[in-house]
Amino acid sequence: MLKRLIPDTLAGRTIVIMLFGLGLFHLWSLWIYQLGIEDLLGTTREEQLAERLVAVKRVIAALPENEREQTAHALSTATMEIHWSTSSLVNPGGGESHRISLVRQRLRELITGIEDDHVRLAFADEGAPRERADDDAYHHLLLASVQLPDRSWLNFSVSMLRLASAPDHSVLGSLTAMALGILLVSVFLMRSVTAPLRSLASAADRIGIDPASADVPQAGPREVRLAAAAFNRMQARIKRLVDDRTQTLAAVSHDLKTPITRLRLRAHFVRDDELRQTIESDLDEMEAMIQSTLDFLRGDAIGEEIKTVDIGTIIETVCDHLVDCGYDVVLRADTHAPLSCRPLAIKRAFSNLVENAVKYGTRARVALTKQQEALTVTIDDDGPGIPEAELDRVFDPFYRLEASRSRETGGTGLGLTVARSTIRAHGGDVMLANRSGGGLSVTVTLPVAAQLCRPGNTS
Amino acid sequence: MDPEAHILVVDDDTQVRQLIGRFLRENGYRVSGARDGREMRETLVSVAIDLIILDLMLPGTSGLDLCRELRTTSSIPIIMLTAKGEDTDRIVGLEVGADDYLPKPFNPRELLARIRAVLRRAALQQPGEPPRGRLIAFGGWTLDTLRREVRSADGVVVDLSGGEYDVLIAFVEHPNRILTRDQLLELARNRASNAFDRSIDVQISRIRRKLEGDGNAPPLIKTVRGAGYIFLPTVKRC
Repeated sequence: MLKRLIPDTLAGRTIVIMLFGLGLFHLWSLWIYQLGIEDLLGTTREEQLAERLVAVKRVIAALPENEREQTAHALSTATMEIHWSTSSLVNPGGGESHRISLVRQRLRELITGIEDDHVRLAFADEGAPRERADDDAYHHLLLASVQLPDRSWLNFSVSMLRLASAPDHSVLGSLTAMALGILLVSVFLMRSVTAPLRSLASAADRIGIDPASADVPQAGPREVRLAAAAFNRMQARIKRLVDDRTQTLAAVSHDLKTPITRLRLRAHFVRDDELRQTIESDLDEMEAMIQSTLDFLRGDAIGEEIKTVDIGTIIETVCDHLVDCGYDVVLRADTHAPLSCRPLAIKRAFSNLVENAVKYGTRARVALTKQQEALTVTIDDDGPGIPEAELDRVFDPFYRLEASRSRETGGTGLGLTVARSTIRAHGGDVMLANRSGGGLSVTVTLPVAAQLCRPGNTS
Repeated sequence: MDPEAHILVVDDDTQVRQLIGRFLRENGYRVSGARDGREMRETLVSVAIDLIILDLMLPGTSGLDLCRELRTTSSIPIIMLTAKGEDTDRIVGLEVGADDYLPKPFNPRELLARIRAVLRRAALQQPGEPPRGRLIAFGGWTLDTLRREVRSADGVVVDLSGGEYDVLIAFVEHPNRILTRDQLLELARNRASNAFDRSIDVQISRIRRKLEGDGNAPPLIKTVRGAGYIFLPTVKRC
């Protein structure tokens, strides 16, 4: 439950923490402010009381007895009731409560000339019957009796209620406005502060997909810059590691070409025709493996020039070649479609796909259609298809289906890998699906106006 | 045809050099070997060589530099060999003046076919004839003989197989006249494309499909019933 209240983003969390701290701070300062106000008001109230006591005492003492009660009553105010009487309202004796001694002390500071015996102070609840002692009104009703020179008493009952303690709306309003303002500004600021983090995350996502992915820009707060720098160093190390292995494998594959050249020449001197043909077909297979390994390692990273080529003619060449080799390939494409691409790589990709179709699916039906912004090439075969669970795995390097492994089909398990990475480097994708009527359907999409990835710096 | 042609094999791999030598001798050629540029120059001084098979990767001066150097003084046919097999290498090789290019590992029969084709073309070319232009224009298309590619007027490359290219260039070099199937086959063989096992008719129909498109463009190649084919557009070398 609490988890759901905590925002998911760093920015959100920071804002919540900030608002929480700010709220605490405001409550605290509000409390301090309230205390100050009360203190100030309390002092004023006691001063007023003292002044009243002195002034009323003086007035009443000067009057004849029959006018005293009437005048005293007339001098009463909303918060102060004044009566004249021959007896005191407050009983003498009994220990004074702490509250009373505080009030007495203040009065003593404020009034000179009133002696302690002539002023009796009590809170109403202290002298009141028990059942009313909890009453709030009595709790705040101060009773004061001041003795006149003729030993009669002036009785004051003063309401010492706190001033209206209702919440101050203007304070709350400004608090809310401020909180809202801070919220808005911090949402904006935090988004910009965490933007480098988000770009770091998306850069991490690109690794392995786009081999030429650029370094993460080292911008933003220091922690993010440090993280970006560390990330870039890690990426460089990974790239170096991969490059080293790639180059090793490429060098080995490459160096095999000279011994194969010798073997090819030597095979030519073998008099036994059958033996010579077997050796030559072994050599063909070795050569194809080396070539596909080199194709795979090279990817599109190395140097093929980008040209605008009629993709329709590339697919025609690929299909015609397989027809010449005796395979059943039918091409349905009247479309001549210019495509900016690396033509040899694209030709290799389609060659791999159509070759797979005729090798594993007996025949290939190839169709090229052109939409507004993309080309679609479908290659349908009549083979057994691919188990659904393995549809994605067949793109893994050197991954081969059981049927392919057990058959004498040759190949290295790199064909689909090379095809897909080439098509993806051209901004498109390869999808495999089993057709409902049996057989596999390969769909290649290629955007017409793709931004080709710049070759990575491989040296 | 050229029974006594003398071929110089320049390769730093002794076994490859000897094996190529033995293979070519069995096919009626005289063969000398050189392991680097220095030995090549020495041989060229003392022996009349008809064709050089030159490896791209040589110790000391590279095959490319040797080829460039040779071209300043002679027009002796050169076939480049390389283990790299990149398209760019082929173009660079042909740009520095090699007549043909063969990636390692090659099929010995393929090498033999290339040697024959290059020698035949060299024999056809009159001594002192200026080198032919690299670009050929016809019917809105441009053919680049070095890159072996055809572009449309708006720069779109049309992908042609080796065999299709060889037939097309045979037409382009002999426009506006009837060529029989045999003549075309012979002309195309001079280019010795590696996969030339389809009939001329199939190659021509494929060229038509790729270049003439859906019939909006004017036809390039016309069938002459009972005689052969004729290449219609005017050809301009530049």
